[in-house]
Amino acid sequence: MSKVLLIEDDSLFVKMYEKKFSHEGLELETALDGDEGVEKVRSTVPDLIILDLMLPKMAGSEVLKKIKEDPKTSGIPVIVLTNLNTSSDEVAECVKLGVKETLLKTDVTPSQVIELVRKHIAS
Amino acid sequence: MVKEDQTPLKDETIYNKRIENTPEAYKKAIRELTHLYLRLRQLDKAKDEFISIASHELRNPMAIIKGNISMILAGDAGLVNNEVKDILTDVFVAVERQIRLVNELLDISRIEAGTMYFNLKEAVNVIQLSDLLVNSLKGVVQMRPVIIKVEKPLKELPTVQADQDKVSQVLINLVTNALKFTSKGSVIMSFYKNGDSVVTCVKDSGQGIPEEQKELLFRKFSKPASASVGTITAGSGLGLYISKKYIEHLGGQVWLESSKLGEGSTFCFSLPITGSSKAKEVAEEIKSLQSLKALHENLKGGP
Repeated sequence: MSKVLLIEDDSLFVKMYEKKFSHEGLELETALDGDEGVEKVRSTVPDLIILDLMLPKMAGSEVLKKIKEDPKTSGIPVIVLTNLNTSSDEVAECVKLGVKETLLKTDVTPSQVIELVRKHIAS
Repeated sequence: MVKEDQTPLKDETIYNKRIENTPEAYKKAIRELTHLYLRLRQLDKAKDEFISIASHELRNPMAIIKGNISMILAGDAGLVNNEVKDILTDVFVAVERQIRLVNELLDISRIEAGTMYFNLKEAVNVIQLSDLLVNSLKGVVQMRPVIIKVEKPLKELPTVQADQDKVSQVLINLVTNALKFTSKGSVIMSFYKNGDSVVTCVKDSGQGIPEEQKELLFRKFSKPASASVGTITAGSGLGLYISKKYIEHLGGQVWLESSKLGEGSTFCFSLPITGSSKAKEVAEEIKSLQSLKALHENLKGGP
């Protein structure tokens, strides 16, 4: 079964996605800060990563850099799911590093995110 | 990290003073000006940070409300009866409205601070963008006796230079406005070439705009007094203002072409054709503004 890692610090947001993933029969791992995120990317090597950018301990863009630096994890597709404007410098930096999607949290519903997750895992 | 300066800024600090014509006095004035400049930069940075954090903190709860309601409505938490569905749909619409308002307020703060980023594309096809929008709105319109369509011009039109996302946003604003005030009839989008520009028009057969409101249309928070109809509810009154700012930045214009009470309104906007002299002028201007912004960022940045 495909495994997705959600790196996100808002527990209510995490809870919502845990429910959605279990309802869809998908496995979801979670990490609540940047450090834990990097650690879990390395230990679990997920099939896809959903990454928030404003994270405690290590910013999302730093997490992404670390993922991309490591040849073991650099090929994992990453979806950025943030509240920072898609025109912000942080998001632009992530686009440069190579992410599949940059989404504004308020623009999408969990169902739409699941659709994108399936699409990128399949390809 | 520079130590935070807490002294309030006073307007009379420097320019109400007479500077004596001595090197010492000038040196002192320069010192004062430098201090003032640094303080302003600090305040500017604090304001940027405040806006960014406030928007982040406002959006998170809204995303959670929207997401959870969408899941209940989709039946993820079990069967929902129609009455509950009806109530939750209203909540969903309300939270969507709130999200839009936050987005618009952020857009405005960026437009007014001159920090809005324009991702200029050389060749944008407005008709294609309109098609996409109309397709995405079909679900909304389905329930009402309103036809929405894109009227293709007989002869193919040239592309325009623009920021695709911003133009889409303007199209959404104009079309949702038209739908808001058209309970039955049609909303038609048409296009024509006028000199160095392509003009896009959105014509509705709705209630029209009273004379006294016409000149207020493109102002901030301007809202017609009359209630809205249908499923798309009243907005913030910021849409046309933002549209105007966007289009003007891109070298075009937005205007109310015509409006008659009971017969409907037509709004139009123009954009410079790819490769035209106006397009080149705008590209230069945006490029220089953005390099200025980058310079500003560099000055601000660093611990």
